[in-house]
Order: sequence, then structure tokens, then C-alpha cells
Amino acid sequence: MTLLRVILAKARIHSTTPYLVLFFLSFLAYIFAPPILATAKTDYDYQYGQYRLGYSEFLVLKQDYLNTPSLDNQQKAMLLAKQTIVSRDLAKASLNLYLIDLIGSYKVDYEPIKPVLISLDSARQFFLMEAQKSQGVTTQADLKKLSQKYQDSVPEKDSVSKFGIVANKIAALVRIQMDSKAAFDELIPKLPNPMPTGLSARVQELTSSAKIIDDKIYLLASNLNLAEAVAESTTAIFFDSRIEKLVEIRTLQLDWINRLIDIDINYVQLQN
Amino acid sequence: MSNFKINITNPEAIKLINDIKSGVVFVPIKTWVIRYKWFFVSGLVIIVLLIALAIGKAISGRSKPPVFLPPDIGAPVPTVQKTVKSDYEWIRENIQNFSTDLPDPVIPPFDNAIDLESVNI
Repeated sequence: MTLLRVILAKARIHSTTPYLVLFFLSFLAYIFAPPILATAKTDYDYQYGQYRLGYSEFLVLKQDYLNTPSLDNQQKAMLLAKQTIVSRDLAKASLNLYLIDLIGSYKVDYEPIKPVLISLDSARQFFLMEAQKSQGVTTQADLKKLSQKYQDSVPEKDSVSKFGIVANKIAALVRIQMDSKAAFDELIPKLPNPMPTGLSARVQELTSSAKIIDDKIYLLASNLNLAEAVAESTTAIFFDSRIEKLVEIRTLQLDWINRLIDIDINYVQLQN
Repeated sequence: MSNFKINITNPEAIKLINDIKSGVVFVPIKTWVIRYKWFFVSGLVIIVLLIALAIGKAISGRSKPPVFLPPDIGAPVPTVQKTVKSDYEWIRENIQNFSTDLPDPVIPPFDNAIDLESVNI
């Protein structure tokens, strides 16, 4: 700074000028700096990354302890086990939050998937509490007891994530239905009045097809039986059977929008 | 002006005038012409033909022969199709981009039995 002052003095620049310049540059940096946003996705990625790292280290230390069951090795393995349990449960909690966030991003208020959202949040709370619990463990026996208790209660909470994944897809389909409905409502007043007979029939078909798609989505959503979540989610066809439904609904939606676009082009766009 | 008269006194000139008047001077020419009359006729015919050719060429050069071309059908004009795009294309794109894969996102494996017992390894 002294050298800078000498240079500034020789250049006859006021001594407060560099501070003003620094302040101005800092202000610019603050304004134009890219915002670092911790989204649910980035949080989940981070937490899962922590779990993977911790778990691989834990397995090494556990093996060391089993090979050489010294007190030192036990303490090291215990410490890392507790850390890994925390990161595992935080990763699970953030996965549920990520799913809630994904479903919420579609901005749909769809009653049949609300129980899934509630269960996801409840499971998230459970995992956060479990992460806290491991901190009280001091002995190997405590750890074993905690782990057994966890294994008894966790399958139900784990299965909720699978329901959340399906609910996410349902929310996407509902969003498409809402957008399609809005497009239909917007298009109708633009059509010629009175409508030609052929067009009238096509509009009627669109209305009935939309109803069929709505019913199919509703059926898919109502089949998310949370009461038997564990039993249902462990079956091999849990996802496969739903993929078929998703493909069917997606095909119907695509066909529906194709017909709507065809009407729009032929009766609205080409007339203008 | 009307009293002007030429007096010829030269005997050779007088003789030549008298020969011309009597036609004696033309006798050799007449003989020559009679002898080569077919040459003259042939030459005349050739000259007439050449003149006829020249006249014909001049006339043909003046009026150009008709050029037979296919009827003008006009230059091909590319058909410009009006590209009409619907306002609802974005919905179709959303549907096309919708992935039916499950599970999405994939649930990673978690170890629910973290302890220091040997059975888990």
C-alpha cells in the first residue's frame, strides 16, 4: 500500500481514490457474482456423496477392527459408523425433500397424491430424527441395538420414496393435463361460430378423450396404496406395471394434443 | 452555238468514219462474236444465276427464318409454403420430453445395517 501511495503521490492522485475504487469493484462483484443456490437436488447430491465417502471408509475400518479387534480400531470404526449413519439418514431425508421439491415444481394441487407428499415429509422427519439418534451411541452394543431397531422401522419409510417417484410422474401428467385443458379453453372461442359439423364432432371427441385421460391418471394415482407400502413396493412389478400405465397415458396425451394442434392450425392459424 | 461544225480533213479519220458508216469495221467483231456465241450465252447464264443467288441471299437475309421454340411456360417459381405453427407446440414438446422411465430419480442403495458385527460384510 505504501508503494501504491508513493506512486499515487507522484501521479498526484488523492490517497482515498484507491479505496473508492476498491469499494466500487467490490460492489460490482457483489452485484454481478453468480448466485450460489442450494437447491434440494444439490443438497441431495452432496449428502449422498458424503454417505458414499463415509461408507467406503467405514467398511475399511470395520474390516480392520474385525481383523484386529483392538480398542483403537473399535473406536475408529465406531466413530466412522456414527458419521456414516448420520450421512445415510441425511441423504435419505434430502432424497425425500428432493422428491417433494420435484412434485411441487409442477404446481399441481392433485388430491390423490397428497397422502404421498405427507408420507414423504413424515419419512423425512423420521430420517432427520434417526440422524440425531446415532450421536448418543457410545458402545458397540448400543450401535447394534440402534441398527436393529432401525431395520425394523425403516422399510416402511424407505418404501415411501418409491411412491414419491411415482407421484412425481403423476404430477407431471397432471400438469400436462392442466396445460392441455387451458389450451383447449383458449382455443374454443377462436373457432368459427357456428362450428362446421365436422369440427364440432372433433371438439366433442377432444372433450371426451380428455375425460378418459383424467380417469386413467386418477386410477394410477389411487392405486398408490400407502397402507401396504412395504409389501407393495418390494414387489418386482412395482415400477414395471406403472411404466405401462405411464406409457399408455403419455400416448393418449400426445394423440390428444396432436388433434388440438391440428384444429388450431386449420381453423385458427390458417384463417388469420 | 448551232453553227458550230467540225471539219475533218485527216484521210485516216475519214476512212475510219466511212468504215464505221459502211459497217466494215464491225465485221471482225461480228465474226468473233458468232464464233464464241455459246461462250457468251453460257457466261450470261452463269452471271444471271449468280445475280439471282445474290438477290435471293439479300432477300433471305432481310427476312429471318422463323425459329420454332416451345411455348413459354414461364420460369419455375418455387412454391413458398406458409409455415404455420400452433401456439400449443410447447405442450406437445413437454409430452414428448416426458420420460416414462422408472425409477426416476434412481434410489441409490443404502446400508440399513451399519454396525460392527461381522455378518454384514
